[in-house]
Amino acid sequence: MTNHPLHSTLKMQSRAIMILEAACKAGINPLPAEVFHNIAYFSNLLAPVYGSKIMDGKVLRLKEGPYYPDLQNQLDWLVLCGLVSISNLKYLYLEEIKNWRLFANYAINREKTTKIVYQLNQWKDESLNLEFIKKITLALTELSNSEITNSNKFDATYADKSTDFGNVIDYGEWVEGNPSLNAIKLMEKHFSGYQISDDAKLNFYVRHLYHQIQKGRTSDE
Amino acid sequence: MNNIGAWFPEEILNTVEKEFVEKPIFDSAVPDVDKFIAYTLFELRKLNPEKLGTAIFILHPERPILEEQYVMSSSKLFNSGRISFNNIVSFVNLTFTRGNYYETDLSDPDKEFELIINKHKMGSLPTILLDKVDDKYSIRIYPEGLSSDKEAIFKLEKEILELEAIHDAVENLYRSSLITPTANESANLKLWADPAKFYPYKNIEKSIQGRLHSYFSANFGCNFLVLPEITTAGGRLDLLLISKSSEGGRQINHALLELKALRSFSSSGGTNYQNNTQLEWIDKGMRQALEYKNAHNPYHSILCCFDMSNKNKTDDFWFGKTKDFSAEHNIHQWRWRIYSSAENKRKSEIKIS
Repeated sequence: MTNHPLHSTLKMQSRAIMILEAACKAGINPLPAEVFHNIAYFSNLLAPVYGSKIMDGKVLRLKEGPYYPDLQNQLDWLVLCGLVSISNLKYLYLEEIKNWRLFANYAINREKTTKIVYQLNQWKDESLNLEFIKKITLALTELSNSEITNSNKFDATYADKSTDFGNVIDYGEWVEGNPSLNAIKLMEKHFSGYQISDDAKLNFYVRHLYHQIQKGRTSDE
Repeated sequence: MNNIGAWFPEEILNTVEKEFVEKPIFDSAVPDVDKFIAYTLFELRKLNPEKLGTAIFILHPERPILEEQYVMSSSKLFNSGRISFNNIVSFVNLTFTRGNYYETDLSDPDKEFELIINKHKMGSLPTILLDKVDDKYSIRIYPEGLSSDKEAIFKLEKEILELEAIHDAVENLYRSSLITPTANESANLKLWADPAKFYPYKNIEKSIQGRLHSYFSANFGCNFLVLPEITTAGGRLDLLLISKSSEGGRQINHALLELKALRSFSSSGGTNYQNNTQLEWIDKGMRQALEYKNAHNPYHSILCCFDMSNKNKTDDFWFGKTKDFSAEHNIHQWRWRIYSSAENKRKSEIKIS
């Protein structure tokens, strides 16, 4: 296994493949675009729990939830390359961003990506990233697809009203730490008498997110 | 306090306290197949028995491509209680949260097993059969798939955790996975760096903990809490075996387990541990167990020693000096001999007889 720094475009392509691969292994296949971007968000937000580097430490706060245009472009490129298949394609106009956005379901073409995934696993950093993304994606399957899509509305960081909609949330680009990591530190501190594994921290985070969604739903009704 | 954004501290702590004794949370020391078994049993036990009949669960998160006659349904809410697990063959993910399935008559599961092996070509995938016969349930586990002879039978109901059951759990693990390098290999467990030289592999206690965790979770619905590591040469692991009380969901501390491998060498072979040092580990382990026992008040406290030393010694040798301490504080001392080869095991058995 070697260290191999990837070019940013290639990094985003490999990130998109990792998310689709992880989703497939977790049983979310095909993967709706909205779920894809939420997994991308949590893969950035919670990467430090596993000591992984954050690929993108900022995200625009939108009512529609996290959306990474550059990552989407690379995903679209993977579709053109035949590495990813697309279904249920539609364009919707979003008033919030005053623009059209593509919505679709994506599925990895395993026959064509097996070698790519194998190669990513040969590079130390990418292998660790893939392992982490698999864990967060599997943990998120405790939520339904629509709950994952709406999870940002209840997330410690994304739902934090100190950043208005339309502004950038910085959770690692220029600032140290983020509310989500602070929440995890609080869990650790409370149980300082025990050793809490990284997997447990991640799962507790998602389960609290789940409880917040349930609570939010009840109060809306 | 640091900013925790849209969340509230009390709510976070409520969740964590609740989740500690709810659904199992495993770390990487637990093999995937063991996680699959434990999560599946956890979810099935949660469901209304009226929703359960005979059903097959195969670890295959992706939707399989089968012949047209199999009408596949998928569910994003697989564990929500909406699906009746009766006369269905399901392809599920590791945590039993997503799955695809088709309906079929499972009055004779062997017929379906034949199809799964020969037609679907899925005989090597971990499979679980929930079997209902005369209103009684049993759970048959095929960790290496239906093509393999390996089978384990579990009860749908959680078993009661007595001291004897804890001993049986470790004994079962010992017989099936720890006793010799051959058993280690078939269980995909690495205990020896170099068995011929009695060099143990590193972090053995952690691997044993992983296997015990999934076993206790599957059989008894218990979780492990790992207590702060106290550095001893060669390592030691202190665990609290917990579950949820049926009244009020509070945490029950069933047992304190101290796992300790008795090594003659470090994993690189660079250090040779003499008997005096090994006996000191046991003494320190017992004193640490007492400290944790007083702090956590478990029903049972046990020092579990896995003897990987290069000479055969008796329980009297290992536990003689701490015998009185053990009796006074009711801390049990158990030992399992881990052989570096099948030949060593045979020789040892001949001596005993």
